Amino acid sequence: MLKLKLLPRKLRWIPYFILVLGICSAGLKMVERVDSKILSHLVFSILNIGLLLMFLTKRKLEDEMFIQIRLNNALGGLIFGVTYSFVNMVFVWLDWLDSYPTAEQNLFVVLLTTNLMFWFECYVNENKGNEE
Amino acid sequence: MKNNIKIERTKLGLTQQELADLLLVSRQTINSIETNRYIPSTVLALKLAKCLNLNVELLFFLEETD
Repeated sequence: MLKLKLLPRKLRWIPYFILVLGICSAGLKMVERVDSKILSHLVFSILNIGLLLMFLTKRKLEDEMFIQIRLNNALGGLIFGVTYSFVNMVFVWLDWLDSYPTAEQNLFVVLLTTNLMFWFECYVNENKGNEE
Repeated sequence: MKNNIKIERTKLGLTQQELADLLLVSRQTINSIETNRYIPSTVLALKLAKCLNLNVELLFFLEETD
């Protein structure tokens, strides 16, 4: 049976706390108008850790099908991230964008896409599961 | 791959939830297997066959396209 080490559900406050911390840091950076590259890297790194832990936290319903969905969506997120990175490179090459996104920003796109796809698929599955 | 799970489950008078509880999986998983949206692992397929008192070959079968 397909198994994956996941963060226990009782510890699900950890990713939420890290995400809130990241969002607050981003908000503070925007309000204070701090133009620091290191702070920008730090904000995205915090958000990435939060999103990764959220993706790897056990849901209320957890079995081999949800692990399979996780793996499929991780691959989907990776494909989207690579495409996004390539499209960005083309845009910079055509002078439509000023600079390349940083590694943290690219990773953020991958993790956000992966999480969104996973939540969407779980939502669809929960609704389809009502047929008896 | 197709399966007879819905027919065999109904014969035994089990609901999706009851079968899911017996197998320690979610009802969504049973629904996805019945509607061929998810192919279970060998372990889960064998557990399903055991729960429904059938051989796994009678529960799951290949299609022409497989």
